[in-house]
Parts: sequence; structure tokens; C-alpha cells
Amino acid sequence: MYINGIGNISPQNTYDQTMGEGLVASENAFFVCQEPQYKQFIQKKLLRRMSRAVRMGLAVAHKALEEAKNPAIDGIITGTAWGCVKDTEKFLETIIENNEQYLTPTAFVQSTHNTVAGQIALMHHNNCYNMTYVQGAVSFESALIDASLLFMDGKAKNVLVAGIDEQTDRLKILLKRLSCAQGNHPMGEGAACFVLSDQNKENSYAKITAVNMLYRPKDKDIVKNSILREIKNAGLELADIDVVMSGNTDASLEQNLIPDAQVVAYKKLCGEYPTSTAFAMAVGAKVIHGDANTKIALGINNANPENILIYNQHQNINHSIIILSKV
Amino acid sequence: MAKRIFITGTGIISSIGKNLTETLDNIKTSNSGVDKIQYLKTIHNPNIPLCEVKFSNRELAKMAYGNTERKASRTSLLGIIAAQEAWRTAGSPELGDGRTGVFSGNTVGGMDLTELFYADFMQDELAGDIKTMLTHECAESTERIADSLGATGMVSTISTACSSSANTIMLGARMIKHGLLDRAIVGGVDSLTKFTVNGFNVLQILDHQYSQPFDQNRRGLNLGEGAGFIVLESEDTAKPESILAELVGYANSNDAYHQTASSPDGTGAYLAMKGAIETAGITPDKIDYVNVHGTGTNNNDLSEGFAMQRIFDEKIPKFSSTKAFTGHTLGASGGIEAVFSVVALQKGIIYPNLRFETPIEDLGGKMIPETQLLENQNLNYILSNSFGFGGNTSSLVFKAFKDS
Repeated sequence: MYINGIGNISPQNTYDQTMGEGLVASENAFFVCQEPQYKQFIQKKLLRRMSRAVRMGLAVAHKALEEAKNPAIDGIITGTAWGCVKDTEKFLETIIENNEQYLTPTAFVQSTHNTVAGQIALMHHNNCYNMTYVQGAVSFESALIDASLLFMDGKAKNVLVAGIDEQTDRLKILLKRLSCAQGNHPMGEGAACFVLSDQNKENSYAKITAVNMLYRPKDKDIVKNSILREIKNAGLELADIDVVMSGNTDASLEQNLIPDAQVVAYKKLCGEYPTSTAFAMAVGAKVIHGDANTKIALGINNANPENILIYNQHQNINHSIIILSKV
Repeated sequence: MAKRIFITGTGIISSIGKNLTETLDNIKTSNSGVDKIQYLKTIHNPNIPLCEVKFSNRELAKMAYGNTERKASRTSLLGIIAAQEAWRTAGSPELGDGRTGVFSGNTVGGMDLTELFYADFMQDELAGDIKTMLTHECAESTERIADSLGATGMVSTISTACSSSANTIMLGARMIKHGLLDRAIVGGVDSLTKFTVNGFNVLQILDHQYSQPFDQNRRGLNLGEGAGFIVLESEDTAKPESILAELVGYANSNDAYHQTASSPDGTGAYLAMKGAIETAGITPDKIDYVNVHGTGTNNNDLSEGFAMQRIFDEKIPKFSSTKAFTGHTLGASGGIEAVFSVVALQKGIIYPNLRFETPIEDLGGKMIPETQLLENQNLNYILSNSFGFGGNTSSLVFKAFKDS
């Protein structure tokens, strides 16, 4: 699968450029997205009713499509663990406050996890394949695997794949109480969207040569062997991996497994959130495509990295492996 | 080489039974699950009837974990019970390291517990048992199901509103077809919550009486809860004696018309049905029975009816909505109705569309569902429809498995 277009809204300045020069740090253990001006592509009256998750989703889809020169899209697949949090809270709070009376449907209809994918279809009048994955830290990976199946089925030339999660003030309180948000381990949010294609174009950023996920692996050897298998399936040797973009606080497994690769921590730019690997894939693809600012932001030393492994795991329950390679 | 996909196990829990046997007994006696509210704490009792699973959380915990004290969301409990039945009836096949997928469809996750927590939390941001929030996400029930089976392969959750579990069936089939998995347990679960009841109520699509799908005088839907799972296996690993039916067609589309309403001409529904029949490699006239989405809302039944007329022209196959029995179980409905489709093929039965009286005028007065249980039917192909908010539409085609 080739990455032919990217839209990335993140805590860094990544929407209108590849990566802003001044990097933003987290505040009080949270990263918050830098959002673009939406009214350039979403009608004002629609915009008013849309939550940030939906706005961000539509904006990154718009950008990814524009970069890919607006090809016909054969699939719209999103991944989100938290879903449309704001609208869910809004409806739930009104139910409780008003004792199930005097409700309005807007928040409810926009609270469903498939709202972003549905709105993208609606906005682009597209009846194509449409799917939403909600599998915690591997929601985005599920979407990528589904896209690869569409290509295998010969059902698609271009597929839109996105990973979206939004923070809210209430969610921040909950995450603090769950001890998730710590000074040295801030929480974040983001939306990243990709036009994936079976065709290598002159504007291709990189290709995805492996995607896999593991659930509750019994021991570390299973994880290591899975990473090795994905490297092999990608047609690579261990030594071909130049950089590991790790989402883990303890990156010893990946560093020991691939000692010659430089291991960098991508969450220092976006924080912890379930679809953070979508951010990692967006910036990783730009690095492979030769973007200097992104390379500096991530602290990558290698002049021309050709193969990047993205490895992330959540509480040793969900593990994700993605490999990006130079086109 | 694409692999054939066989169904080797079924599991179901809904307002008409905690397993397949009870479910079929209630179908035979036309005993619908719609009733006045017994379990959900809501001010809408007794004005809105629901299709509740007739057990308390403690009783469900006993069935799922053998322990009434076990804390879990109602969603997880229902999911485990149906998934365990599906797995058991498939002969509890070897999990095969990482070769078994667990895919579940779900819309509100552990919202039943979140609602309780949130009432405290809104009073005081430090109040309530914060661990409750760990059961909030949709994926939680899927992971509890995977854990109850000991599965360590690909585990994923789909949330495309009311078509969620039909889409998990499609995902499982495609993973197996390409040899990425040997088998998958697929389907979905949802439990009733104040959140959904009030959401559908404020959309004014709930029937305050017993619903009448595909009837001229239909008033809306009855919400239900439950879970339905089937076990899909590759032709390479399925034991011939375990095979119940074959999954031959599937398609997913988007209506792209409105966030909640279906398009008047049923574009999404038409594309899903057409795609599923094409994937099956058959012509529409081969379909013997359609298990329609048939929610009982004005909008859905009309738009689905138009789409069926476009697909089948004058020759509409036998059809019925089993939601008159189970209510609309949202994320679970595609899984529950897949179980109904597989059992119909196995036993040669067609389910009655309870309470149907008058055909819909705008559909030419000619779309008349089956109103009696039909037995000894020679069924080869069944089409099952699942449509949802966000324009998501999916259809599946099941084929009878005959030894000859």
C-alpha cells in the first residue's frame, strides 16, 4: 500500500506544513491539537454543530485527498477508540441533569463512533465501502488491515484511512483519576488521515510494507518473533531497519531486538492516545520522504532513513507493528 | 486461492431466550420478547416497551462467569454468554496460536455502568468508582470475550451503528478467505441503556406499542438487547460434521444521504444487497428468503422495501423481520440475524413477521412478509440485511450446506 496523501492534525503545527519549526510541549500533562481554520472547506452552518472529532476528521480527510490530487475513493475506514466523546458527554449529561426529559437529538446522533466516516461519505457523496474500528490502541491498525484486504480483494484503487481521538475537559479529569496523565507521560489527541493506493505515484510518500497486531502475547519472545516475521514478510533484513519509532516508555525490547537501529520516541510530540500510531505513520512517512523538519523534531540522526518500524503497545494487551519503506 | 468460509457454530441470547433452544421454542409459539420494562431504571417505564434479556446482571454474571459477584458490564456478560455457546457448538476448535480472530460489533460499550458512574461524577468530580470507566469502551466486551476463549490472535471491534456485527462477519470472512486466519468468532452485542433508549426516543422512532415491521400502520421500533455470534472456519480446518452453512456473499456500502435517515430510494441498501448477491456469484432470483433489516420505522421499511423492489423486481422472495421477536438489538442485530439465517437454512424454516396486518401502500401494497412459521422449506440462499446510522449498510448471503 502506497501513502499518496496525508492530512495530520496534531499538537504540533502539522496541518498546513510538514512540521512547524517551534515544537510545542505538553501542559499539565496534556497535549492539545493545533486546529486549522475549518471554514475554508466546511460550511459554517454545518461547522457549528460539529464536535472537534468530526471537524478534525473532515479536515484531515480533505487535506489527504487534496495531496493525493483527489482520486476516486473506494473505501473510507476510520479508527477511533474514544469516539465522539464530546457529543457522548453532552447527551449523557443532559439525560442525567434533566432526568431523561427535554432532550434534543443532535448530540445523540453525532455521538456514534461512525459519525466521522459517515460524515466524510456524506460530504463527498460517496457510497463506497465504509467502516469504523473501535479497538482501543489498535483501532487504527484494524483500519489499515481492512484497507489491505480491500486491495487484496481487488475492490479498491484508493482508500481513505484515518485515526482520530479527541480529548475533552471531562475526559482529562477521568484520565487524571485513572493515573494515565503524568508529567513525564502526557496524554494527547490527534487526527491523521491517509490516501492509500495500490499505485506508486510521483507524489507517493512511502509504502506500508507491514501491519500487524497482537493481543495479550504470552511472552516477549512472541512479540519479538512477530516483529521479525513482519520484517521478513516486508522483504527486509533486520539490518534494513534504520529507525524504530517507539510508542513505549520502556523501549528496551525493540532496542535490543534491533541494536543497529536508532530508537526514537514519537509520543514526545503528540502524547499518549489510542490512535497515536496514525500520527506516527504520518510523521514517519514524511521522514522517509526526506522532510528535514520532521526528522529534527523526532531527533532522527540517519540522513536518509529508508525503513522505519513503528512499534507501540498498550499495557501489554494490544501490540501494534507497522513498517514504512521508501518508495 | 480464495478459501471457502463455513459456519460451524452459533450462539444467541436475546429477549426470547438465553440460548438457541429457548429462542427457537419462543419462535415456534410466536412468543415475542417485547414487554414492559423490568430491569432498566428509566422514567420511560411503563410508557415505552423494550425487549430486555430477562435476567439481572447478577444472574448473567452467574451464566457468564459462574459467579454472581463478578463485576462486568451487561454488554460483556451478554457477549460472553452468546460467544461461549457459539464456540461450544463449533466443537471448541483449537485456537491455534494467533490463527483465530475475535471480531465483535458494538455501539455503546459499557454505557450501562458509565451512566451510573456519571451521575455521581457530575455531582463531584472525585466521586464514583473510577475503575468503572475502564469498562466504557466498545472494545472492552470484545476483549472479555477473547479472554473467555483464551484467544490471542487478531481481536477487533467494529462500530458502524446497527450494521456493526454484519460488518464483523464480513471482516472475518475476508481474513479467512485470504488465509490470514483459519477461523474467527464474529457477531456482536449491545445492552439496553438509558443513553440509547432516550436517544431513539428523542428521535421519535420508538413504538410505544408492540412494533409492526413492514406494516402500513407501523409506528417505530422496539429497542432490544442481546448478542449473536457465529464461528467462521476456513474450508481447510472446518470439520465436515461441524459445518452448518456457508457464507458466500457480503457487501458494505454507504447511503451517503443523511446522518440518521435512509435515502427515499434506498441507495445504500440497494448497493449492499446487490454487492452481496454478486459476491455470492448468483442472480437475485436464487435468493429463497430475505431476513430484512425491518426495524418498523416509517423511514427504514419504506426505503428497504424500495431497494428490494429494485433488486428483485416483481419477484420478491419470501421475507420477514425477526425484530418483531427480538426488538432492534442495534450492534448485536447483524449477529443475531446471522444466527437466524444459519438456523433457517439448516432446519428449512422461515420465521414469521409477527403482528403484520396491512401492506405498505407506497410499496404498491404488494410487499407482504411471511406471517406464519414455515417449515419443510427447501432453502438454498438467504440474504440478511443490516443498515445503520451514519449511512452504513451491509448485506450477507448465506448458503445451505448439503452433503451431496
